[in-house]
Amino acid sequence: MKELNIELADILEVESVTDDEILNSFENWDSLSILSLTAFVDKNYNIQISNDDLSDVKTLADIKNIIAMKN
Amino acid sequence: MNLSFKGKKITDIVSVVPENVSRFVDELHQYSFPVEKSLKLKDIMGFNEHRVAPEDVTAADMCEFGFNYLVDSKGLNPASIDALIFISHTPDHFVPPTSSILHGKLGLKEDCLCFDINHGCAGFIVGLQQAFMLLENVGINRVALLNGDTLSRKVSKKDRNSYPVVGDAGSVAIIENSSDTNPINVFTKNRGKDSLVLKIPAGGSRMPSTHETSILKDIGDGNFRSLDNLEMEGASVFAFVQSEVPKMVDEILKTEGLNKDDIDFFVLHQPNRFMLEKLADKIGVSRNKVPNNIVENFGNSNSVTIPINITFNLKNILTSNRSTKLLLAGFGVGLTWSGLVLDINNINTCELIEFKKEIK
Repeated sequence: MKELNIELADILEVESVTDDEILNSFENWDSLSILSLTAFVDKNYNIQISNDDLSDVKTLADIKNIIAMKN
Repeated sequence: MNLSFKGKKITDIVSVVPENVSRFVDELHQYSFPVEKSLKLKDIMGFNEHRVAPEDVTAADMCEFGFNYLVDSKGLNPASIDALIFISHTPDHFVPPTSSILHGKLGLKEDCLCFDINHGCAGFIVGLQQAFMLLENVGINRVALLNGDTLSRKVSKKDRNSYPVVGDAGSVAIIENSSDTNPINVFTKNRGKDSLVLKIPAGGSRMPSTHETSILKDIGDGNFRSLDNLEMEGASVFAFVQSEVPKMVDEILKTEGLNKDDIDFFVLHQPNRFMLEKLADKIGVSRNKVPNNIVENFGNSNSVTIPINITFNLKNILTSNRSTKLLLAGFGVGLTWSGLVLDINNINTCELIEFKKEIK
């Protein structure tokens, strides 16, 4: 799921994002970036992420776990 | 579920919007976010202009204005209305039904059914379905379907996720029996277990409005809301729409024996531009066939977005002789999602008008 790191870096307008970086530490991690990432996951993996799913998300690794669990 | 009807048609649709235009660029100071960050949302979500009704104008006022327009300019006879349906989240009062108030104001006959339905995003389709069911009864030949909302007063002005997208509006559709016996199939599904993902927490019996429920609080992301305001779980609603609406479109087309190419326009409820572009991609049709310009011009007015979409974008084509095939679909509050295919040509009225206060 390397493309998720690339997409998220694009959304956050940074060079790169690792799996373990705290998403809240990025200036651009906001409701729009969350929606953009949710849309990317929907389009590429056909997996829908709800607000409940997102409540415990701190890193990209957490999002990858959700995708793996729902797959 | 799927309900099937025969011999029904919409003869007139009029949408009514307030004159007052409010612009996103003039509202940026309301939000706690840096201006450049807010401006990024402008193009992506379609935040631009929206219509906001004056404080003393209600959804019912706009519906009344639209109905009177049909009477005064299009020759509609009020005595021909056998049933009136008013669909809204923003009634004039809890008691009496707003449909009763409108029945009086519009001068309808006493042999007329009246009822209110509390519904939102799917409300136009829900209303059509009710009208079709009523028209199955001998004695009911013409139904007035009134949709209206003043959502601008239900969202917080300091909530950048909601205020820029909402708009106030009303609409009137006249539905009657027709000699055209082509079946009309209406698809509807409900998922009540998720009903609270889109809600106004306070103001009803479960949590009456008090001083406390009116206090604006930072919900954690820089947006300020009170319990009297509309709130939604954005990701959950997005997930629901992207997952269920394409499936509904496929099922409707299957029932009708049609392909995506047979549909001239997909007239969908208008939450925001972003969602509609993603939805068009997911359904697998060109974005040109899925008009998404209502939020940027008028705002999301709940169940009125489909009538506005029709009257703003399709007036010329629907008043022509050529038959146009539309797939209408609403989705959201409830959670309810519903849709149908309609063939329309030579419609009597397909107009978008501005509300003007009558000077008495």
